[in-house]
Amino acid sequence: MITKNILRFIFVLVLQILIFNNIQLSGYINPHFYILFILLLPIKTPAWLSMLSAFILGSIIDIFSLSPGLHASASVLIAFIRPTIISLIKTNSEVKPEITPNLNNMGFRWFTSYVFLLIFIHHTIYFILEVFSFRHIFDTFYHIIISSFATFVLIILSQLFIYKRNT
Amino acid sequence: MLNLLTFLWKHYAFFLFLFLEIITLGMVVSSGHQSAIFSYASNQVGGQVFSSTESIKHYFSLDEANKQLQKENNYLRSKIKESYLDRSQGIFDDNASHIDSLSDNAVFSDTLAPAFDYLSAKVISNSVHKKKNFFMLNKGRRQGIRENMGVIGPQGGVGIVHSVSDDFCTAISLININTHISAKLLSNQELGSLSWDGKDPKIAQLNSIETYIPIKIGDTVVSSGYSHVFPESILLGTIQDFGKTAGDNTYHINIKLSTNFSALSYVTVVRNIYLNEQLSLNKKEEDKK
Repeated sequence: MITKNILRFIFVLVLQILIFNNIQLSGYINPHFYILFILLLPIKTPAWLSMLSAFILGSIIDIFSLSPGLHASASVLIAFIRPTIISLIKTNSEVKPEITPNLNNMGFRWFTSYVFLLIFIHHTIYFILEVFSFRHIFDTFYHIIISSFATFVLIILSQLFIYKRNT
Repeated sequence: MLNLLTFLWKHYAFFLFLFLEIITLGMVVSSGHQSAIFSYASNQVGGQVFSSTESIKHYFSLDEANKQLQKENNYLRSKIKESYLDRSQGIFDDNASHIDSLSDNAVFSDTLAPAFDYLSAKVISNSVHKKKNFFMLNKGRRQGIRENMGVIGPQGGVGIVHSVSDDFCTAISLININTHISAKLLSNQELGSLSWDGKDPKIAQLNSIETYIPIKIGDTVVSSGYSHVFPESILLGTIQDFGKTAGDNTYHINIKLSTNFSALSYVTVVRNIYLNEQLSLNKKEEDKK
């Protein structure tokens, strides 16, 4: 379990820095694929561990994208509120704390709403901090929507890929 | 005391959250003039990684880079003295021979002292989709690069060096909401300031051109040479469209940037040889006031 998460940490880091940071479609879309790591931490992960790993992950991404503090700040926030979001979304069966909240364990509807909510919160914080003012609020909002959508599609696709292989 | 400790322990997650957020937000706030540690880390660490991955990527963009450099070469060749027709030698004039040698010296003796020199560099990391875009070059302090030097691409000005580490440097792109560059219209030498509104990476804005000045779509915008960063007349872009609002006596001008920032690969860093002299002169004038 632990090795799997460490491997995933390295995997998302490499993908984000070498591939997704170089995607520049229409100058707007900037998928933050790396938050997949935070989303897939086991539910029972202690708060300090998930926040610290989110902080380290975000800081490394920041160093490579020349954006001091932006990714780290948004990542720590979603690591902090993740347990609340998990308990908020209704499930058909009891949530066992030792499992990983992925597509196989939680079902399609639960997983998509979970992923969407956290991505949206992350991107909102990221893009507002990036501009650091409410001057271009509509423009910022457009950025949030379109980048959230891109990240969402990428994360769901990556999960469908693994999902098929397991069944 | 014990109560306080148990309280802290019970809510340790929240306090840890606050602690981490304060650190990160502190970094965000200080990013205007990036903290020294952060810029050094991102320059040196990022630079090492990017220069190895970019060497692969550059291989695929060589064709495009070649075309751009070829174009620039042709443009520069058209500028050199030998490219100009020497009219004075083609005129039937008995007295022409001695005027020739005189005028030749008179014209070029003044302009021969160079004010800028140039260093080529490779872009190893770049972004266009953010509000504050930067790009990183594969040269740094050891190669003589310092803060506030201008960076020129094959198709015109692209940015200003922002932070320098030993072997790499980061430059603030023209398409960064904090960039302001002194620019002028080539047709009538009218001065303005070039900035970017954070929307389209191909379009920048030219401010403070008064509405009584005649301008038209397609006019060329170049660097003014007053900022001491760029030489005069470095191409920046052309006017795409413009408009006025009632009660405002300056135009809103959209500039189509000459450089395609998403395909930036080889650039030239400009060093102003007289920068220190010019700055100290400026300072002297300010001290007098």
